[in-house]
Amino acid sequence: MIAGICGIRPIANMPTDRLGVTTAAEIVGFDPTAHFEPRRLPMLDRVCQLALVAARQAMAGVEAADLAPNRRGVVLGAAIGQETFDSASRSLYADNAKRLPPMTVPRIMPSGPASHVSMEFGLRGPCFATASACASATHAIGLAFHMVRAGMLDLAVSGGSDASISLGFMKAWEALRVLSPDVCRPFSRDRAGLVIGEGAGVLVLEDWEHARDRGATIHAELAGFGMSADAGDLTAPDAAGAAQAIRAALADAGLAPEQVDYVNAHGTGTRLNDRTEVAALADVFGPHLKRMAVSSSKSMLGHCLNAGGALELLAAVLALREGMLPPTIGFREADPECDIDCVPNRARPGALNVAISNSFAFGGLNAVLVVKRVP
Amino acid sequence: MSVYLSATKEAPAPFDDQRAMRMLEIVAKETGIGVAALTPEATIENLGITSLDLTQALFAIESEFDIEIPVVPHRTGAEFTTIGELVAHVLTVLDKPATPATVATVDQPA
Repeated sequence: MIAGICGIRPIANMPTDRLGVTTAAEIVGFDPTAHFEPRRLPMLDRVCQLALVAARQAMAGVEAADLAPNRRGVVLGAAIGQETFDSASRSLYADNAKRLPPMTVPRIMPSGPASHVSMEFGLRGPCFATASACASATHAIGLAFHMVRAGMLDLAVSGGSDASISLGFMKAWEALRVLSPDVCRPFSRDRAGLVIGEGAGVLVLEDWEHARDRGATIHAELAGFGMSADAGDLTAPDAAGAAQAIRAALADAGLAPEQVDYVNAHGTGTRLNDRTEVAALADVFGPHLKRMAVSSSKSMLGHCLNAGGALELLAAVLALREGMLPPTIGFREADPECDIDCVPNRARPGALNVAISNSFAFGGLNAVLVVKRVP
Repeated sequence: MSVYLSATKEAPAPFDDQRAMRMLEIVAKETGIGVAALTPEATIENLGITSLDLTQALFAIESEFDIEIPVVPHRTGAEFTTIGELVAHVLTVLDKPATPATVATVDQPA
């Protein structure tokens, strides 16, 4: 991400002859058999596979004996098994199949990724999935954070996964008329829409003393979480609702707007989102916005939907840890309606102490996380 | 191609077209706004048409005429400023001779 490498490419994992938009941020060359036993694969939709691979990376270094199993939980963004849903529909309706594979239901269920993570790591505390469209992972992490902070859990595995790039899903997005024909250019005057992505982002959230006592590597401090609902339009974003969520997150963290150095924006690259998000930031941060950096990782990752909030929080965490601002790539032309420093095209060093990560979902569901650098 | 372009430039006001009137009826039905208010100069914003309603209307127009209305480049989410622009865009699609699905060679030098 610091190198500004774009993951958006021509779709390679499926035929595109029936698609109008043929680019996405796909994971290409992922071999499930390199990660899972053959007997286990019939139970795992691609979305579960990606969640598990990310969870393994996050849990590396957490010893089984470190914690009581019922004090560890899992909260992931809800994500249906799109690959299974599509193949089952096709075989039933198009190929007139007489029966479907027995694992069809558990492979599709939106809580599947959370269940598989709990099973693999023996996490026997609360385990569930949150559904809030493109804010699902952010809501998941926020709830997990509050549960750890409240003393309900010593450790939570949280984040989201998404693997929805299928013919049906892409056609549905095409119908919304918000897809870019090529790349994603958030905040650029010539931005042409969003690009669908897939992936998984998983974090381990842990009580501070507990993490310190077991000698864990602490990447950042999760400091605040705020939510709101626009209660207005089904798809159009609302600056007041977004601003309310940002204010709630800062209040939860006990921080003033002037203490924020970096915003990892929702930044979808649609005309409407980006100008509305900038309006919300201007409302909350006022003149301080001129001194902040605001970039969109979707320019590189695409819009990873149920995983987006987790991947973007990770971008903010890494920005704090490395003292580097990740760029908004594909930026070509300033937009008077997006008068911000979007870290155009190249990462650069920055003295960062506090960052926020925004997720503003369809249905008017807003969620914002605040992270602080660990000295 | 050049003939086609000059023809659209010299075309009369779009709403003289029967197909345009049908489009307006569809927009009216999808948005709940009376046809009389849907003048060429009326702006989508001033009419209070949300992006969702506009998308629904475009979808209904596609169904009516059995066409696909391509997204206007760089204007996703706010493709048209006025009703006149919307109608003109759809008319260019309707008047376009049938083309293969891929038009990537159109912009290449001869």
